[in-house]
Amino acid sequence: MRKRVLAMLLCITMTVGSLAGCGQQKPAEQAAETSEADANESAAAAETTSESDGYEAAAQASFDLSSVDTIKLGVLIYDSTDAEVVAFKNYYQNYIAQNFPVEFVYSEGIATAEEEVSAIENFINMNCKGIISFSDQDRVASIKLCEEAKVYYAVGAGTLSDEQYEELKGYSYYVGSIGPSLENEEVIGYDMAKHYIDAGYKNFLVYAGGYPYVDMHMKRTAGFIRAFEEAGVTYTPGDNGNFGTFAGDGYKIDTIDGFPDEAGAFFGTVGQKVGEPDLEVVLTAALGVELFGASIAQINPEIKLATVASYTDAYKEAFNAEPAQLDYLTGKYASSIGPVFAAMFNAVTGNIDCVRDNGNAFRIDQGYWTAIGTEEFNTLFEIANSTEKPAYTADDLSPYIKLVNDAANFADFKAFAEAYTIEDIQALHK
Amino acid sequence: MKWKHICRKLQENIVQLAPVLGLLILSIIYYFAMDGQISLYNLKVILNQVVIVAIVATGATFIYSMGAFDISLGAATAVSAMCGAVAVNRTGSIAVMLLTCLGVGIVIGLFNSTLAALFHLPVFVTTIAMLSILGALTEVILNGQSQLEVASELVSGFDNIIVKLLILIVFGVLCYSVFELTPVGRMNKFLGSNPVSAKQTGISSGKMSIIAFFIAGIGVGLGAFLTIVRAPVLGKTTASSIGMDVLIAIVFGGMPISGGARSKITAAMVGSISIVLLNQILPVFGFSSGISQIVKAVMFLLVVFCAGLGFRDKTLPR
Amino acid sequence: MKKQGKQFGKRIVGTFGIPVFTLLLFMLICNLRGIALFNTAGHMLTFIRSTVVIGFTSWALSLNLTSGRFDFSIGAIALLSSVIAARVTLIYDLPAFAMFLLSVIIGAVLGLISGLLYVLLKLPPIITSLGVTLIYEAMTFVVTKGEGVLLSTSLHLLKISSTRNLIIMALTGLIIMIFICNETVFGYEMRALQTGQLIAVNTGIREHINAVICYTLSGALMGVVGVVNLTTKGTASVALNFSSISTMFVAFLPMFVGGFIGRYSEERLGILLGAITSALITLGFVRLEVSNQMQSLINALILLLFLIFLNNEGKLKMIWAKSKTGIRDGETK
Repeated sequence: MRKRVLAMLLCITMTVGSLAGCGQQKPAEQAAETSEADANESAAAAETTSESDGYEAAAQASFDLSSVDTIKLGVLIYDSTDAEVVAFKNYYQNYIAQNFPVEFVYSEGIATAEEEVSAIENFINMNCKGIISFSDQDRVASIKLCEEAKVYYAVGAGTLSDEQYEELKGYSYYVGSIGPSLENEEVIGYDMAKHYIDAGYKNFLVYAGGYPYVDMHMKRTAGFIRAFEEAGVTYTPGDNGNFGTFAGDGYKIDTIDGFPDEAGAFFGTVGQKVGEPDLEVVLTAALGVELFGASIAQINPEIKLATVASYTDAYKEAFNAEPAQLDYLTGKYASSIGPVFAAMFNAVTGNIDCVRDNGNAFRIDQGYWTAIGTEEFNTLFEIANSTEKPAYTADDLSPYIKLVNDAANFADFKAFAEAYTIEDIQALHK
Repeated sequence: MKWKHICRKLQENIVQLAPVLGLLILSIIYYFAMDGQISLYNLKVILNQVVIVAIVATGATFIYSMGAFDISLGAATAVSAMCGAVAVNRTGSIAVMLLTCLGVGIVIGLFNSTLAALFHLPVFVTTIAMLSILGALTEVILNGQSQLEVASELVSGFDNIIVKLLILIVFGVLCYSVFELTPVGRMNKFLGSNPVSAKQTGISSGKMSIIAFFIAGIGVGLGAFLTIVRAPVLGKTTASSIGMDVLIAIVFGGMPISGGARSKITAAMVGSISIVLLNQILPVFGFSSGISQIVKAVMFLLVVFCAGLGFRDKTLPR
Repeated sequence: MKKQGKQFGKRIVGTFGIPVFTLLLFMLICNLRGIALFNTAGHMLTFIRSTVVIGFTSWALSLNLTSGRFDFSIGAIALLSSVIAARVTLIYDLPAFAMFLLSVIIGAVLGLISGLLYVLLKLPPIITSLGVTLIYEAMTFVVTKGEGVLLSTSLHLLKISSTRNLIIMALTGLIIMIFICNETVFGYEMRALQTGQLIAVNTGIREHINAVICYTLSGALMGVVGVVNLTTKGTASVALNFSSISTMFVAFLPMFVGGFIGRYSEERLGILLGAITSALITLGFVRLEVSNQMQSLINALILLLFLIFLNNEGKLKMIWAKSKTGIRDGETK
């Protein structure tokens, strides 16, 4: 019996160890947090997880919302282990929640429409006043579910189709969407391929990701295809809607799709294709460094790698490796989800009217940032990930929040959210 | 002596009730996590999330009680649901959808069991192979689309608590009756406890596994039907977590994984509710994904450990 | 003498028949398509790498599975040990060999904890392993703050999985496994426990210690798998909600092939030859550009067919013998 109790203790010790281990902070960090807590009690109450911070040194917002009760907001995420999601969570948790009276709760990674419904139900159950979604399983059903439960819903990164928007824009609890449309996904694929075609490269490897099962990857790949077709290459679609092949006109374009398997066939294929003589450029619809980085580094570091991802530490490392492992990145940055928070905050504090587009939910396009070469990446990375001054600081957001600025209105908000380019953000901070 | 006997009896009872006690404790924590405000909506949400896993797990109890193990239940549910979706999209009839889901679920179950019985294969390994085969089949049905949608107007009428409760109760009562009131349950448990003696008394393991997989197939079919009704957008990952959810639910509900005499048909229900409550409670404490998974694992081990107290042999369990 | 020679021949055919047949089959198919199965050094690397990953996973799985202990956690151990080893190596700027060694040691410690939990909790191994899988997966999340590890920029670390190193790993692993399983008290006791658990325990064999060693050894083997996987991919992503269990699915075919070959030679060698068979199939997929969907389907069918053969060998032999007699009868008539 004693042994069994010992075993249980071992089990519990492991848990406590992990909890303690992950909660460990340096004394300086703790001190910083304490002073923040003094300055803003309600915000400190919102700190519920102990994941990585990085925003300790950020300047405190110049406005004071401490009289407002803490509001709980749910965040739907598609994969809690995705670097982009980790960066998003970090910004909300460790920056926004420190400056606004909000508390964020996150779903587990959502892989099916059923899990999405369950996660929304759980948020409603937990008394969340609003839900910001980075999940895209069945948006129409999600919005309807929130409307029934009188909980605000906003799309944090993405958009609705025209048909969906027409159907749902009048819903009182649907706040709106900010993010790249699927058409935009096609354009970034096109731009990526076009950049290398224009530069005179002729020998490509195209990675189509989860084609045709992942919409975003399919659209980006469609962009690649359009650019190559314009250059005179013929594309032949595969059977049953699968990714096809390219042929002709002085170009050599090899293809690959799918994800790694346990036996090693995927990486074997990657090695084989990256090892093809004369390969110049690898265009990837996603996961460029994760799937091709090691092979390129080992086989031929001169090959140019281009991908769609986010401005995270891992990609910084890849750009700054000697020689650089990545040449072209189109991606999101942590604080790109600032404006949608501002809109949601207005809604849950009873001021949805100031972000209504003629009485309807808004649909705002926000594109990606593209970096070509290490220098440009580093500049964008600094702006995107400054822990002292994120691209969207609390003060940047405040003019569009009714509780802070009584003159806040939709037209200004729209202009603000649509001005997402690097020049716009730099202008904002001047 | 008498005291010792009473104490032992009491310990046994407590052990027997450990899963239910676990459920009770979770309910109390849930009550406080919700600040004492439990509405009808809360109950509806819990039922909504319990029903699919509970139904598939209740059916699967017949497989598990024999000491067999099916890891392909999620993939089977996905294939059934996709066939059901294709059927309703072609015919517009919910009855056809239900029958297709049931039919495909049963056919997959029968295929699994016949394969195992006919070729004397270990069921677990057969189901691992089936996991890949069914996975490939979902891609074939998707036919190059990322999602397979059913018009929500068609199925939304069935997305209500009464229908779900009715299906759960009817299937639950059916399984309970077959398991407890007919020789099927007894023979299943016998096969799980001691397959050699069971065979010597004339119980055919092949026949019993066909019956078990048939009933589990009905569970899969109903689970598939309810999956479409709940979220009529199906993709490559639909229902993929059901295989493991079912396993956890059954064990969480106090049933030994090796099947046999202590198998309980009610375990699936108790376990499914416990897991749903746990899933609702953990985010309230604001744990990160990693920490909440650790807490879940420790809770799981704790409950199973308590449920197994008093049932220890000289040798280590296998 | 002739009988001995026949026996030897039978053993050679039984031992090498399956991998050689697979090799010839794929060489033939590739030849018909006008390509060579092994065309470049990269193809050899793919083949050796798959052999090591599949072989070590199969050894790890078989250590416990042959004793009736099903262990879901081996994938999570591979991931967690390699991720911790990589982080420590990157932080302290250690050499590649240190990362390899660390991963093996951490894998062994994780296996040890898993084994201790099993013998102390006395729960069915499948249940303990479910709990342990969740905990180890989650610890990977906690250790890397959810981001995983990027290694593709550390070229000196990627060199761990060079063809030469992989061959050394496979051979060393084989020698150690054969030695431990055949020449030590542990190996003897393990076999005794496999064949008759209660009798073995009654004769004084310490089952608890044996089981813990099995888990520890299995963990160390998965430490190798983890580091080879990490240095092949250049990244390790965090797995949650049991997504690490798919790691073990590649091990079933080699394990059963190993069991079959074990009748003619040594089981551990058999498992490695099974892994070589699987690796040849994998390389075949690469060379023939078989789609992912078809790969998993073909693998599943091969596993099923081999199991059907293995479980019905007696019957098949009878049918074979009957048909032969029938032919002979027919001839005499």
